[in-house]
Amino acid sequence: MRKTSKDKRDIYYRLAKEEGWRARSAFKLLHLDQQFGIFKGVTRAVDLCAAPGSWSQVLVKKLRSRPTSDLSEVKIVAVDLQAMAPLPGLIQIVGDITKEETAQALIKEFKDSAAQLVVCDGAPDVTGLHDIDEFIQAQLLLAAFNITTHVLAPAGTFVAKVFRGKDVSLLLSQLQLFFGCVNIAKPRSSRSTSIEAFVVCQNYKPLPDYKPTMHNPLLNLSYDDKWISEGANKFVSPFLASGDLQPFDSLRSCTTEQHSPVLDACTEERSRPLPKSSACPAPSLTVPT
Amino acid sequence: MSAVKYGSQYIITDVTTVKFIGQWIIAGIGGCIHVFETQSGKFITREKIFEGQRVHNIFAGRNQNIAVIGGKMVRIFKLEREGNFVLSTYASWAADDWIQYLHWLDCGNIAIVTAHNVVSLWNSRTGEKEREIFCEVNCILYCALLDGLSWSDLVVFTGTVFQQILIWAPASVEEDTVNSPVLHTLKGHDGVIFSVSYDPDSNYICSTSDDRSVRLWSVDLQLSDDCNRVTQWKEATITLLHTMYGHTARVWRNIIIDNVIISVGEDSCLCVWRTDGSLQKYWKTHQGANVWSVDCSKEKNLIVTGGGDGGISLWPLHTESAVPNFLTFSGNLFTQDFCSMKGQNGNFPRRIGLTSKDNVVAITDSGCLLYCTVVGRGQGNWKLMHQDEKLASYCLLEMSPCRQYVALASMDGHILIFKDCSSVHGKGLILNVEEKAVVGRIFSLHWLSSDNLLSCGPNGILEMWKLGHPQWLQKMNEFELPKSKERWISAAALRENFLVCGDRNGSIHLFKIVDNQTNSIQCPSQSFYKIHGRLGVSSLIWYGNCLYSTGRDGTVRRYLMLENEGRLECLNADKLPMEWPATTSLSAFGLLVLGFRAANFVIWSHVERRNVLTIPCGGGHRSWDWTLEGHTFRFIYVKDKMVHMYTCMMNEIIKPALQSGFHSKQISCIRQIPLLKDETGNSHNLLLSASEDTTVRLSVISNSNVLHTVTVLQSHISSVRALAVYQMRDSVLVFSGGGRAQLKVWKLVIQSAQGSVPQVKCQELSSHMLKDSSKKNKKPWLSVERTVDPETRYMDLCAVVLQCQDPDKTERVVLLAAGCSDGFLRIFGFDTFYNELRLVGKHSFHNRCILKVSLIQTESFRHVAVTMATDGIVALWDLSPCVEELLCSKHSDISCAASGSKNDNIRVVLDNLKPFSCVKVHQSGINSFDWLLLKGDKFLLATGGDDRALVLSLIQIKSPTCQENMQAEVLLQWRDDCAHASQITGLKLGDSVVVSTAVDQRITLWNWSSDTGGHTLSASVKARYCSTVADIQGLVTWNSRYNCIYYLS
Repeated sequence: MRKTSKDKRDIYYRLAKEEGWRARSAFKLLHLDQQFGIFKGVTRAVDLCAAPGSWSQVLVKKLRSRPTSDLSEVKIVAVDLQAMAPLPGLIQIVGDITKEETAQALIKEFKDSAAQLVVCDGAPDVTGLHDIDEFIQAQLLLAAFNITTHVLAPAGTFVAKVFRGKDVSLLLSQLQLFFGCVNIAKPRSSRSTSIEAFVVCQNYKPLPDYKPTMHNPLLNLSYDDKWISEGANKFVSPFLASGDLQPFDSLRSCTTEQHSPVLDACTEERSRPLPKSSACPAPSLTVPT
Repeated sequence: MSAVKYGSQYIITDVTTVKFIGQWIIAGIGGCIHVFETQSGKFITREKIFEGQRVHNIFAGRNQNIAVIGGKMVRIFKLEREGNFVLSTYASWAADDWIQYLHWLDCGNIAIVTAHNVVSLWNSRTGEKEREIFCEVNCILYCALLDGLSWSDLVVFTGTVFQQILIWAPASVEEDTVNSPVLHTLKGHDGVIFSVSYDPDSNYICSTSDDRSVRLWSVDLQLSDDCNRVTQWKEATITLLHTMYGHTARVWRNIIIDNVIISVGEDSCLCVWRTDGSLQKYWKTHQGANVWSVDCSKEKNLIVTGGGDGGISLWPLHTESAVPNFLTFSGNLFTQDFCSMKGQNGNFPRRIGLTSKDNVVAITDSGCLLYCTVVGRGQGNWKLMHQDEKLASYCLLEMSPCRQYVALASMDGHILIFKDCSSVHGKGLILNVEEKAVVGRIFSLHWLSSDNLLSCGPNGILEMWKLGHPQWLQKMNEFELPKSKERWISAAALRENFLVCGDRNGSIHLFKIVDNQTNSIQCPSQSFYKIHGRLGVSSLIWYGNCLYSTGRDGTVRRYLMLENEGRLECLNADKLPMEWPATTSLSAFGLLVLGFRAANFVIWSHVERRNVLTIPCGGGHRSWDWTLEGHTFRFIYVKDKMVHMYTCMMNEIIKPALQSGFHSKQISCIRQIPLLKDETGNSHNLLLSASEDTTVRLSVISNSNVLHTVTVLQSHISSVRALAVYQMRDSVLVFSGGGRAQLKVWKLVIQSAQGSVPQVKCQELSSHMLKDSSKKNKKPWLSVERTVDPETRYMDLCAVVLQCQDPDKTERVVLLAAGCSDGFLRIFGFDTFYNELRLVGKHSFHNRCILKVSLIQTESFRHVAVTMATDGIVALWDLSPCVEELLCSKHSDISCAASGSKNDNIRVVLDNLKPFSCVKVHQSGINSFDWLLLKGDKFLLATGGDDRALVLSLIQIKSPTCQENMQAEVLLQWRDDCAHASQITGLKLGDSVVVSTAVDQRITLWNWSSDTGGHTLSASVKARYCSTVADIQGLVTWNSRYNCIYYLS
């Protein structure tokens, strides 16, 4: 029940309405896919904190509409506190992701074969005081990750929303203990004014002695600035902007001349991140044509 | 090299906590506490508590102990002396989870509730954890509360993310390994719980939530002696008493005190509720920003609030002593004395007035002039003073400025003047003058001074009368209004020999009074057409050589009289939170604007920038009058055919703010104004800031590093995102642009300084919108064409002056580059002589939102624009064609001036501009940049992006001659892809240093170096500082001691 929401009607808001997505956030997942190919070979996926269900919509569309896919293989489960409108082929679990029962229900769904992809676009009730918001978002992410460890297959992918605030580097280094590759990405459709970004964790490889538990799920964050200033944050994941293939950005005022975006036009081609180095060869200035 | 010392010098941001502690009010602002003395409201001191962490709450214990919490941090202080505020630290530690509440126990130890529903016991001297009890429900808390004197008595109230309030007692379990059971779960809220409070005296629990409600619960404790407190609570019954809706957004905090509940919320309201669930009173405060914190002192009868605009305000808790009483004059109005005339129907008051002795004068519909004493003997008795058929059904009643005379004007042109002689003869009103002055109806009548009247007759004829000897009105002058639809005046004011009139059509006219005996009719010498919209001007009042006007368009405007030139200069306007401002008053409380908002009479204070008083009177369409003598404010009005009177003490209602607020929403841009000198030669450190809250503020930084707001420029219709400043010889030109594609030009001149705060004259020179505001676009739904314009926002602006060979035109044309959200770079020219803004060129290259734009001048005096967009590309543009167009358009100047500069949109716009070079530097948006011009047309460009990379690029521009195309080359580049943990929002490049700020709260100082041959370029971190501001938007630096400015959101 917030007072106002500014810039509500940006281009992605309009596009989402036009194309029938339940929320504009659907584009964020699509853009993340363009960058990282997170749906490649995935048939079993979980959407945590799913309501109103735009990410579930994307999962359903991407996983069930492949010409090669066998629909009986595809399994998509959505978890949220609230029930949402049904989608074809989507199994819904209504429950709190920090609760044992929810975890059990989810494990039951993936008892035969574990999920290859877990996504979470959940966010707390943002107060506007960024330090509290960031803390609660981090707790939510850890809760989501904790339930994920129960159902995610090795080499699986985990995508979740993070707030890039003061302690974000610490959170990422924790996730790096579990995943071979951790990236932060900000999709084009995410407003550049927001501190929101997405962490894309690929190649899940839990420690051999790690046992998933719901009893003390929350990793403890402690924070030391000295550690950061010595450059430790440099080893954390590189930043990648995703969604380059879309000719829009969320800040831009939309014009009608560019009015023909078809989602399927997003090819699998990916943009490469720029090389990360300190002294780099000077790029040549190009003369625009 | 010496070590760099960092420290926050001044901060204005969300006030996250306020507390009355002893004689002090302590406020948590960022990582500091600010201390004020309650009695005087004086700022005492500022203490730094945490580094890189906001203060979230302050708790006072016994023996002058104070605990401050912020995030996971706790610091314990002792207040050393009562008289002076001296703190000494004696413990400080970090808990392992976010602290929601802290509670001092009787033994001097501390109990803490942390965010996962855990209560722990700490030794306040050593900072050691002694016990820790988990609740059986493990979930995130948004708020918590502890009550009880000792650990065994302790009751915990927690508000969870799952819309429940849990009540439990840590002492109900013996061992620390067992989770404590929940005693009560209060359900009912439909959203996250943001605050919970408990009052042991009344046994009420009050909670506030995301669902906009305040809920009051009653606790029925079984008060038997033999059981302990935990058992009492276990057996208690808790019932929901009231669900109180009144806030229009989320409710952050509440307090139960002295049988009332105080709540504050996101809708910037402070509400006071009775325990029966009804709303007693409310104030809208903090300029529409969040109210984060509230505290109340019963002894001092004060409420203090801290807001998202950085302001701290005081409010009265109870105002019984202030007599906000209503007197109604009704019964005696209908006595037999005078109701026989035309029957009952005509005997209601039409117009009323207050005399200098606070007596009420009323003229009824049947033409009876009534008089009533308010104070002293005979209170409330109406006496008939005069009766006249002429005054029936239409009569104007105006009180003279001294409130000794009452002027009545009739339908057929009669003016009657009465004098209030109640003190002399005990008689009331005595008829002084009666004269048929005007041919036809008198449309309006205004007192210009105590012996000077202005009447407005048919056909816009104004006549000025002098009140001379008894029974005599002398006509002094005659004026004529320009032709218009409703040709009469609604306000008038006289100063020396200048008469200003405001008419019913919203125009203001200035007449110069010439002493002529020929009785010729004078016409206005200057007019501001429709300056106050179409509903009319409501008041005109002189304060010295400044004129204030209010109008039915909801604004108050200020003008300066230029005596030498005999004209008024329109300075600036304030948009008011009322649709019908009626008049202004300059009192001990600063400028007050009195007016109507919906069905209420309201008083708005210019100093506080808020409404200070609201009286439900039914709205503006009625006769009313007011006086303010000393602190006593009286307001009379007609409602339901009766006269009502309201009296209150202003000093009890208006409590001056402890700290005035700054912008109420995110600050999008700050620019430093080059040091301006006032008449005495003092220079001032001025800052201009633009914000999402649609205002531009001009502030001055005093020597003690405190920011004072000088003026608020308020005429943007949408958010202001960008500012550009250009200094001229005696003034400063400011360009501001933002949402709805609105661009404004302002001129600032420092007039004089009183102490450290200079008086600055701010004048709006020009306003420009891309969407042509001519008539055909006023009703877009009528046009068949589909509007394509997506309401562009200006994202960044940069201005330079053009040097011209023509000596007349030196420094006349300013070149303005604007980066727009629709991807266009737009180039404007501003002519400082004609005050005319003209679009000369535009082009879209990035096809993305442009974030930053800058202008560089090469050694061959060619202008280059640099644009940076969300695609991470830096593009360089040659602006020579635009410059040429601007400097060579002499003819257009003249023709434009002659034709009234209405043909802006017909002019040729260069839309074939193109960048001559571009380079992709970042993966996504470039949020910040700075550049340094080096020798040989090389410049060092520092860019900071959304991708958290910091890049230094050495770029050379080759500009052979004026005709040849420009070229550019990146000679060297250095980059750090992980310069910060999140997007870089501010950059400043110095001779050997770079300062960068980012959303990860770090401010980093880098050293950059380049060898003599220019073959290498590198940079390294020199120092980092962790700021308490979580959303730094940008950075401004200046040299005195290298201060940084953070922006708040």
